[in-house]
Amino acid sequence: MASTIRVRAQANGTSTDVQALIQHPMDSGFVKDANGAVIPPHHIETVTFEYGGKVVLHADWGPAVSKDPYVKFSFKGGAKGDPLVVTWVDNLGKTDTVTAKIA
Amino acid sequence: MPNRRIRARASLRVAVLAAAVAVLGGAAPAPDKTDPLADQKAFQASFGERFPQVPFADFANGPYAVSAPMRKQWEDIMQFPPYDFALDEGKTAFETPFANGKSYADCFANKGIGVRQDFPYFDTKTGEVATLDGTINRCREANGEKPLPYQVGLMASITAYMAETSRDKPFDIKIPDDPRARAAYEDGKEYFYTRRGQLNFSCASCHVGAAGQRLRGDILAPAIGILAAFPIYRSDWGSMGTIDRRFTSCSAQMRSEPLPPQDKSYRDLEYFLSYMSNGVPISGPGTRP
Amino acid sequence: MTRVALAFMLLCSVPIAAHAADKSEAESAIAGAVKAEDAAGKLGNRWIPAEASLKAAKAAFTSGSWDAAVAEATRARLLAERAVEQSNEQKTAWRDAVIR
Repeated sequence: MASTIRVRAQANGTSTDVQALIQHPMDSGFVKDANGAVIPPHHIETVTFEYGGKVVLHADWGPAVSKDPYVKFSFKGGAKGDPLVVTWVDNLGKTDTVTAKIA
Repeated sequence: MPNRRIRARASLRVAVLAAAVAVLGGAAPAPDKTDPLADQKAFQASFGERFPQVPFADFANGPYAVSAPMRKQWEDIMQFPPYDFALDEGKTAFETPFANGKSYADCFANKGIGVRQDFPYFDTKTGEVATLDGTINRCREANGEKPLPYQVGLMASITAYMAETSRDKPFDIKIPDDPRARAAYEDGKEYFYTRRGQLNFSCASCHVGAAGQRLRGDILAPAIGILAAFPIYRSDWGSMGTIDRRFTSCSAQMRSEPLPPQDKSYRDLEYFLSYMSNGVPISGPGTRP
Repeated sequence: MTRVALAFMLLCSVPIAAHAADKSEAESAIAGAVKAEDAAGKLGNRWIPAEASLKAAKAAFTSGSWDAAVAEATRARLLAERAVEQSNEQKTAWRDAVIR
């Protein structure tokens, strides 16, 4: 199974621009399927981006975030070739992590 | 006596035929004579006149070809194409052999790589239009696998991968010299221009007459090249969809009961639209709002 | 199209049943709607709202609401008749829209 996380991080001297796309159903628990049965909640609760052993972004997500969420942010520092670790954990305890290289 | 009657009837028929030929040969052009190539030239020329600023190949990008603000958003989206995950799934499925050891590659010319632009084609054996999606399912059935549902899921992923390997190859649809092929083409053309449903729309109402204009928040894609980007990830759907899914939802939007996927009329429509788009490069899989 | 709009206006303005409908009236109204819908279906032009009304009429019939069944079935029949009219008109009219 290919990774559920796509990351693109670009260092531009003083800071690094990060974009990420995560594949996840993000079911809110308020939606019913075609048969009228409630689709149980299944969504990401936390996402973290770590650089150099330090968390540069930590997000608490909930049912209001869209399916296959997309994140874009930038942080100070970051050098070309350095690793950036992205991890998510959902409400069912499932998790995925990926290490991306800053370009 | 019966002989004479038959002869009399036959001569009458000849006379009627001669009269018909005389009318056809007259000044008035026959309205329903099938000339697909002339249709195609007129079709492409009319979109060229309507959108002089759009390079021909750019019609593969649908609404983005005719709306600068949408193009800007699209370019941002394309930094992370939302169909990426489907593409991965499709590639894996395409390369995974069936239980009998054969694979999709065995069912297609050039092992299925870079062939999207040749679909749909007219199958002279069955006398019907064969689409890419239909051919994938026939391939599965021939190898003892269950056919996939059209519209969504794995079918969209596999066609996405096959389209991706065919990018930038221009549509190359042929209408063989076969009356059945011309009939299929005519049927697709009639379907495209016929108004149906409570809102009294035809496909052409939106995608010819109002192409480039707004339908609520959306920009209507020009009919030419409209299938080049399929399958598409539609933000409105939140998932991938095939040509069948688009046709089905178009029908419903016109308040017309949709046909079953891969219905003859839908396949003929795909044949007509793709033939009209000959020369437009494949850009699929695509993303649409 | 104006004819379709007119049909709607008429449909909305005329009080459909001044008296309470009975079971046999509902039955014949539904039969009429089914017939009209089948004619539209033969032409490959079923309208979604007509189908929905017919379904609602049948549901109302099952629950014994004869008035509602007649109203919905009448609506379905009128819509289906317009669909047939549209299809017959389009048999030749579509050619006028073709790009030449």
